[in-house]
Amino acid sequence: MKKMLQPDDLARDSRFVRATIMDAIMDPRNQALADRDFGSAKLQPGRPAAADRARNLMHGIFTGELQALEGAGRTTFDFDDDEAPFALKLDMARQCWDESRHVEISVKLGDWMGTEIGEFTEATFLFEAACATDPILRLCGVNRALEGLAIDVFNTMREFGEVSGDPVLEFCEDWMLADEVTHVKMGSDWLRRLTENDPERRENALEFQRGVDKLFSLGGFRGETDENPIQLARKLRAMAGFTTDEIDEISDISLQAQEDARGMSAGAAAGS
Amino acid sequence: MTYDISLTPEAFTLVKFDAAELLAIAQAAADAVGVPAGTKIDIEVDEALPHPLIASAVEVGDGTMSLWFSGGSFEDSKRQAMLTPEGSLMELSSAFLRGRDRLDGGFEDAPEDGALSERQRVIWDTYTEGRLHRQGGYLINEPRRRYSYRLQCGFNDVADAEYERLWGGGTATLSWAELEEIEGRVAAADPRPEAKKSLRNETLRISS
Repeated sequence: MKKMLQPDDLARDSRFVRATIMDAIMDPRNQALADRDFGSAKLQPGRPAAADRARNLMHGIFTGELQALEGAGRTTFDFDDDEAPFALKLDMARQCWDESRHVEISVKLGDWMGTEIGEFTEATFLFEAACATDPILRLCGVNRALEGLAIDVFNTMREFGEVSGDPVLEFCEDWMLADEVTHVKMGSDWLRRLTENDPERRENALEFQRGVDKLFSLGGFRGETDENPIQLARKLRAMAGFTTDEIDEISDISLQAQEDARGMSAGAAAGS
Repeated sequence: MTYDISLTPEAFTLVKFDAAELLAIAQAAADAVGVPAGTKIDIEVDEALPHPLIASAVEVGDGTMSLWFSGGSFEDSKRQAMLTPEGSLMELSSAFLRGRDRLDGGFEDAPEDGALSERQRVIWDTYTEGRLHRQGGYLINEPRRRYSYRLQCGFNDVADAEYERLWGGGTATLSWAELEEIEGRVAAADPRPEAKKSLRNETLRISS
């Protein structure tokens, strides 16, 4: 069986359509939107198009879970035992089970909210973080950065369910959120254990994580201001083992990603 | 039947919509829901508003039906900035049907769209989409409509019963006064606290 699958190798049926982050960032409409004041970008039931925004986000969660399952699954298989200890693979296998349930729950939540599989595009940047050839980079990219983002997203959706009085959404997101906290801790624990005597490797892994965190901030998608639909979940991240300094750093990275996206969007608009 | 339809902008620059194709779909939609002959139709599309920002408004007066849409209303959710013919037909037909309601369908005294509460609007949209569903020929995602309705009217049995009547034709014809009565019943059964009104812009439409 082939090792080190690339994003193009992922099995998808005809319902799925791929998109890239750059498609979204370089969309010329971004600049026009940036010039307007629509109020808070937070996901709230009373905001315009709230239902369709929530449905779109739910589909993004579904494809994210699918890729998280594929990423963790590949990590159990891509490395020999001298590259990745058996106990690490066992953790990844357990995570696969969690992600499988999350995929199933996300599909059912999609049904609940009127979202069909493949109704929206799929970006594969999540799986791309799971293509690193060093297992520690994968754990930093996927378990600490991606699963950290999942904490932020699930917490936002859980709050949306709570405010809108949707018992199904609130309950399901709360349960998935609990799993994500465990997944982040797994990443942090293995990072510490495998790089205990190799500070250079640890720094490389953390640098990789910073890059992924910036990518996952998606030009302002995640942050701590009214402009960010997804809010950084400080308390839950702390429960998952992130230090205050690390959370502050992610907040700074998110702001930087937002500024970078604005610059790219303005450049694209000026060049069109 | 032919209508005098104008489209603003005449050509799209931020999205890859073909204005002529959208006008042809508008013609078909007006025909399908029976917009009266001779009605002048003005359609304005804010192409800067992408999917999933789906929003519309309808005004009638002096023989003219004025429709405003976010560009996202016509955008294919799978193909960025591209037109969805089926979705566009659905959105345009819904708007025309609400325009007919305003003309002589029992909603002559309804406030303008900008003054409707989210709850009033979603009840009206459910009534509208239910009629299109029964008429046939539309690609309708009923669970989407149900979720949008519940988000504004509540996740409870009273709201669900009203939804079934609105969607299934239990209310074959509805008037603005009856819609207000439905709103009163779902509001009374909704345990959620009233949302505080924001001082900032709560609509996607830029006032001209």
